[in-house]
Amino acid sequence: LRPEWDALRAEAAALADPNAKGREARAAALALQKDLLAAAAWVGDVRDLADVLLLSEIAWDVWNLGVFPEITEDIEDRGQGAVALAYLCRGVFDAYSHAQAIADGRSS
Amino acid sequence: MTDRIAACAAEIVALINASPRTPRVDEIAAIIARAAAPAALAEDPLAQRWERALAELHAGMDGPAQDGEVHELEERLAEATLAIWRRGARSVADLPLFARLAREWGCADFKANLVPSREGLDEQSVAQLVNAVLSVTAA
Repeated sequence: LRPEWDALRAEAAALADPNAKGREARAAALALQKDLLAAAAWVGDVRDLADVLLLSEIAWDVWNLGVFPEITEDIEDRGQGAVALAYLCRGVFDAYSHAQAIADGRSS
Repeated sequence: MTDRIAACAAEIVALINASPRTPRVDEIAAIIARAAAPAALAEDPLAQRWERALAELHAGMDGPAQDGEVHELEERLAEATLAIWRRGARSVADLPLFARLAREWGCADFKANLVPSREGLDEQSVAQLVNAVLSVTAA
């Protein structure tokens, strides 16, 4: 599901332009596609940290937390659920990056 | 060699034999994290502080503690939680603790939210992520 998710994120970035063609219809379709992808991800097997990272990005998007994985300064205004999720997602991103750095020989 | 380490080694061998391709580092790291997580958390002062604060709060809520005392225990748990978040996850071994924090603070009915539904996608997303972290790290 990673390629599909990245394509949806690219579409979302394109729709950030207020002059994008057919913006409203595309945004509605995008929201539906994201929900369908989330549902598919939730019933699928989670095999490794890369799969967990995808679920983190999906949860981040569902909660509309901004640019993954940057935690905004006003996160605590969003309530304890959002704060807890944001730090878990950030933790997954950091752990994944740490594992990748080891793989690349950039860390021990 | 402990049973846990032997099981970890067997999982890595099984992973290597499961496919003609070389396993990725994060796949092997997840297996090692499963073996290391309990020890890592047991040696983490912030995790110990959080466990203590949570146990004290539960004891306070179940016992004769007054409202003011319970509030103080809640504050202590919140401070212990914030200290962990501010430090961040140092490796995969820290993720089970972060998942527990999210489950404690962000998912009122964890099991119910693991059941797919068209309603409440926000809490479902937390439950699914927490479940995935605990599954991959086998915490």
